[in-house]
Amino acid sequence: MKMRKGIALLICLVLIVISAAGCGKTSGTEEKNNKETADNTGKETNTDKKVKLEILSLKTEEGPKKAFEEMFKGFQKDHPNVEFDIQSMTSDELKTTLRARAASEEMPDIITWMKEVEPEYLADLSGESFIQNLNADSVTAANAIYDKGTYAMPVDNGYIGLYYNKDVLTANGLEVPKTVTELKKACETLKANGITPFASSLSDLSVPYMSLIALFSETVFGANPDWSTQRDAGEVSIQEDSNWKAAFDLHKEFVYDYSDRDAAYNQTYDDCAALLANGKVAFYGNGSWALSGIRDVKQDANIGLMAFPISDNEKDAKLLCFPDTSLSICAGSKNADVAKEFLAYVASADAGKIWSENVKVSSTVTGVNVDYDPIATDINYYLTNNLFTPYGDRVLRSVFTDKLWEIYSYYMLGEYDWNTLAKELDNAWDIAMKAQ
Amino acid sequence: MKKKMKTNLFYGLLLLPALVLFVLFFIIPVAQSTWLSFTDSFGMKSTYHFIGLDNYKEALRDLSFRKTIGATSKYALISVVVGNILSLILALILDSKLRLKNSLRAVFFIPNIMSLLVVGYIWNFVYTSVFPDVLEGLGMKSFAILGSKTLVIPALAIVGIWNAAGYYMVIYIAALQGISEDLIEAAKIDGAGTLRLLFNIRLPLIASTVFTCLILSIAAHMKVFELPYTMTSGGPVGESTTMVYKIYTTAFNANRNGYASAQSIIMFIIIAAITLILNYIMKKREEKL
Repeated sequence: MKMRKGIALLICLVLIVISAAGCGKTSGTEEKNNKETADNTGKETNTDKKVKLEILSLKTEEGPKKAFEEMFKGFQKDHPNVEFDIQSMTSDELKTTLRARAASEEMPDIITWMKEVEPEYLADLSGESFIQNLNADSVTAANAIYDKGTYAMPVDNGYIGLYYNKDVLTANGLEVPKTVTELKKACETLKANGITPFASSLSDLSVPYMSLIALFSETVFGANPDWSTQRDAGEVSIQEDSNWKAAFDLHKEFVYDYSDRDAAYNQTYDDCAALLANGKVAFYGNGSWALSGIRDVKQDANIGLMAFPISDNEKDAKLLCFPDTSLSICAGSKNADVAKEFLAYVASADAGKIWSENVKVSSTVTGVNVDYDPIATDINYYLTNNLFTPYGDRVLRSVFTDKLWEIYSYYMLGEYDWNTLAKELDNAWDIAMKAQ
Repeated sequence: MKKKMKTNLFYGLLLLPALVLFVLFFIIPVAQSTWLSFTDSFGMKSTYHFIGLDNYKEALRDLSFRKTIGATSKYALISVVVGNILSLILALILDSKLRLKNSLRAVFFIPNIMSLLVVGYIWNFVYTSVFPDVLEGLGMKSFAILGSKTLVIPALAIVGIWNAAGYYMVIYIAALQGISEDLIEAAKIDGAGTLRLLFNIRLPLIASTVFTCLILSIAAHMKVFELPYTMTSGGPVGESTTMVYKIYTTAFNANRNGYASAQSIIMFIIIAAITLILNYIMKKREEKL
């Protein structure tokens, strides 16, 4: 009996010890590994010992994945001792993963930048020579949310604009509309000819949301790049700003009213790309990431890209062109030196070309101009004529963008009037200021 | 006395591993979440401050959060009432002398072993592709069921019921099989028909199981997240934004950990209150018997 009791107690103790050990922050093996990794940070060991750079990326599409693989190979030519462990996931997954990794002090070496990651977890790249290889405006825009410091190294410039199908316009005797009046006229003509002017989805609200971002970037930040600062100082407000209302009204008038509203709830993001590619609609508002989807449906789709017309002055139309993918080094990286060497490679012309060709976007590396798609000409028109704005939703605080995402469709679908919407958005801005 | 203490200590030590795990994986996270609800914890920021009841005050003032309580209650009410009635009907049918009853039990139980996320994607396809095609095939005008403010919650509830009915059916079958055959036979000899047997013998005898299923299904349906996440993104105009979906967006889109924790605590209080009321009714009923 005594022996059985003893065995039972022993099992209990073992279980308690196992539970406690499982909850410990760093196990013995991890400590050993960390020690080994720490040894790898020295300059001498960079070329001698194996180093594994861990990268967490939110680029899940095939293009960026292929670009990363090619860049790894390019970097490994001069750094054969460096291996890469890249994990691609959606932005929600990355956010959740990084929260958990930050809590357990196990951040990776490099991440694709997201505004949710506080600067305390990122390395400041100010003063690094390779940053000079990049377009200065892109670097500034990528780091616009920080008071000081360079935490994001922009790799490419994305855009959000209005794709149009040239064949559909031509077949209906239309020119590419440059003003709101021309756009309205084009939509009416198309409608009269039985063609749905705009592709839109209401089952995936991110589709119409992209057009709204493009619109307020033009009407609000295109007209006043300092709007956010002025709003923080209480000098302006959404309720009193006619430019915000103009963005929402244009959005409702064109993106919603001229779409197939009955079918929109049954249409997805992919469906919208297919509608434009196959010439079933004339216009589709979305970003650079939508291009590959359009080309996947029809490689030779005769499409173009333009900024949303926002007035009857065609010069008011500015393309939202912003640093899309940026890379950051995590502050706690044990391989910070090697990570910087890799970023220096990414900022080189060779890597810029690899990225641009595979991802089908314009590179931020100075001097790299890849003709990745016929619409690159359209984008260059806006860039070279300084008809672009770099401020979209990425420079806005997440508490505000969450509310904007939540209620923008309320106005579009007639649930909210302007005053209710604007009041809630102003309130969200104030909460965001306090929270962040 | 000393021996009794020694025995108690021994049993206490036997309980210790389970207690340690319970404290580590339940008590501490709940306590931490409760503590966070009184702070301004934000995203990945490592520092935060105590702000008292501010998060709770904001939640009670927040129209969109209040709206989620209504949407969740509506969804739970339909799912719990219709779901339990359907489960009970299925249980009664499959408790009879049907030839294929074993196979049918398996068939009705299959949806329950599927992840609700998968179920959501399947039904999204049904509602957005199959349903419009069927309507058009019948010569009727197609409409977007998930885009209708009045139909979206019932549409989600149908999916929730489809997923859970088999589970509650199994519980009801177990309860029905626990009823003594002698009682049924005696009632039949006394001239009780099928309906009389059901309402005067079977249902009163499984009343405690019905209450248990009600409590379980209320707790489960009040926590629905996967269906609005996969099927509607909370739309149209927030009509299908449930409490857990709202908590998720507050925590992971707006990054407001403190505020999301306060919303979670409010949801916990609501579910606990409903459960306690049902428990109270059940106990009162048992006392009467």
